[in-house]
Amino acid sequence: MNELLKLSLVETVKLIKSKKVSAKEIIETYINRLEDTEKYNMLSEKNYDEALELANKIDSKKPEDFRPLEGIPIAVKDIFCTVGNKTTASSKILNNFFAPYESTVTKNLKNAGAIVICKTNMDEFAMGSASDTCIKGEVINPWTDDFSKPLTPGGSSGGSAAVVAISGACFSLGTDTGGSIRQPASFCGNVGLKPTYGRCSRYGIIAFASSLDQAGPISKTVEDAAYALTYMASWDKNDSTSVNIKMPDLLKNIKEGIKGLKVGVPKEYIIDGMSDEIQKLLENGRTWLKDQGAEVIDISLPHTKVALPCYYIIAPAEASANLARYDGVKFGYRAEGPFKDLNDMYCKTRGEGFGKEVKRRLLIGTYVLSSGYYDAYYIHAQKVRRKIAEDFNSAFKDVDVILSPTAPSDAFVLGEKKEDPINMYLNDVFTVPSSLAGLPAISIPAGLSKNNKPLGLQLISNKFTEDTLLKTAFALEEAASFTHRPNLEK
Amino acid sequence: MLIDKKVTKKIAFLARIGLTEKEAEDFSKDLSNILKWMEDLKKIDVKNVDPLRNINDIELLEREDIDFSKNSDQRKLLANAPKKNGNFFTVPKVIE
Repeated sequence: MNELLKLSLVETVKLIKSKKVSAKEIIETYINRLEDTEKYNMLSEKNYDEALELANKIDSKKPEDFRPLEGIPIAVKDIFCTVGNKTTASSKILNNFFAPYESTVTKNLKNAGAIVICKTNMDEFAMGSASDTCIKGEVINPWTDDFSKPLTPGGSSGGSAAVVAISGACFSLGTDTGGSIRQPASFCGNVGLKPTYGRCSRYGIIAFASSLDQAGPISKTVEDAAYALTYMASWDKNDSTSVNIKMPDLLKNIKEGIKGLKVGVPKEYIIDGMSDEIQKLLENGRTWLKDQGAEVIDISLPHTKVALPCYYIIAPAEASANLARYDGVKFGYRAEGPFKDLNDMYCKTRGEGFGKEVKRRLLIGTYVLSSGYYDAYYIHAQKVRRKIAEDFNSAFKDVDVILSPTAPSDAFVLGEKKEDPINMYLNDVFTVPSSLAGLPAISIPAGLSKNNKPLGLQLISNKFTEDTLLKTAFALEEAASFTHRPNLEK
Repeated sequence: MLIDKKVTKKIAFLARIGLTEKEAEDFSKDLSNILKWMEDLKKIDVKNVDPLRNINDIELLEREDIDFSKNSDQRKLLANAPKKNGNFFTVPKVIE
């Protein structure tokens, strides 16, 4: 592998600034890498021409004029509106959609000098945990050994996670509603960070469940995640739930260690039927944090067990409202006529335009919001959501950070869970509770399974304490010293 | 089954999603299973608990409306329309 591709984001930033390597060379190297790895079906759009043009402009600039991400190639999940490229959310219904405006997160990154090199495949409308519902086909995990049984990269940000795993971008953008950054990061051996709800603007991100959706980076290292988030986040008047609370300096104290920090391990996260290797992983995590000087204690989050069903009421309910806009009138796909009437056009368009999992969730969402069921399901779930959030509030009176596995298994074979929605939903068992509580959380690669596939550990911290989260993640990353990369010579 | 085919079709119409007979059948099973799986939620005592709607308890921001009455803006908005006529979106005839 080209030496440039082995560098972290932070190292690449320094190298470009030193002018020892031109931005053009960096971008070309990454484009070649993406061209060589097409078999993993990660990309929804290539943006190579514009990327090279931008790199040329950078090379004529003086280094003192360089912005913090000058010349850095990034991959963007195809759920962020980017002007000049298609934005499809991997759905047939948006297959020819060109967004007339730029998402705030990508605008922030472009303003900081980053170059969008590609957009990535994902589960349709971010509804999934395997990246197996993309209009362009399944994304394949680069850790796959046997191509007759390809592995899932996880989902929904599977394309973004796979691109970082093969070093196809310095970092990538994902979105996380119930685990869609953290679980694919775990399956692909990357760091995946979901910030506090409200940190990154949702403006220009195709909405799934608005009270849960958050953007975040997928990167090779914890320090890279801190660096990327620094330039992604902003208070934005275009997002009514954006929060005007100053981001702590994420890089300043990241290496200061975790002596005296209190870490809680929730007993409810040790679930029935959890495999030995996941239990061992968690045990290692405990030991590593203790060895670094943290105090590790057992805690309880009593409502953990109902977090998943609670999430699968709230998220589909919000989705059914958000996706009502795809009506075949203003943008997107419209079925072929003739139509009996307007409703016939809506039904045919949406029936043909949405995939199976999206339809399934829209039906659940519509049901729980329908007259007679609204209180029993939707309002009840919102009340349970408060209980779940209160569990965390009381836990954070005693601890600074919570430790758990990221996912209940390593990457599974694509298609294995496709016809069993509840089994698929169980992938999110460790990530959904913190999503419901709006908390920042991160997945760090921490070991290999018996199949030699990556396994991640998750850390969760209190709202708006991304600095504490990242400091702990950095210590855990150092202790775990996960250096494995997928072998692509297969 | 909690949800039969008739109910599924009714929900599908509320969601304006056309389903084939096969889909209606499959989704009836899926929805029934999923709703059964959600039964555990009902055991949680939520007396005197307020529904959580806004996790950060902040006042929602407001912004000015954006004026799109200029011709160039209208062209931009119409660019993605599957069917249009001049400056208008077109739909099947609504009034008899």
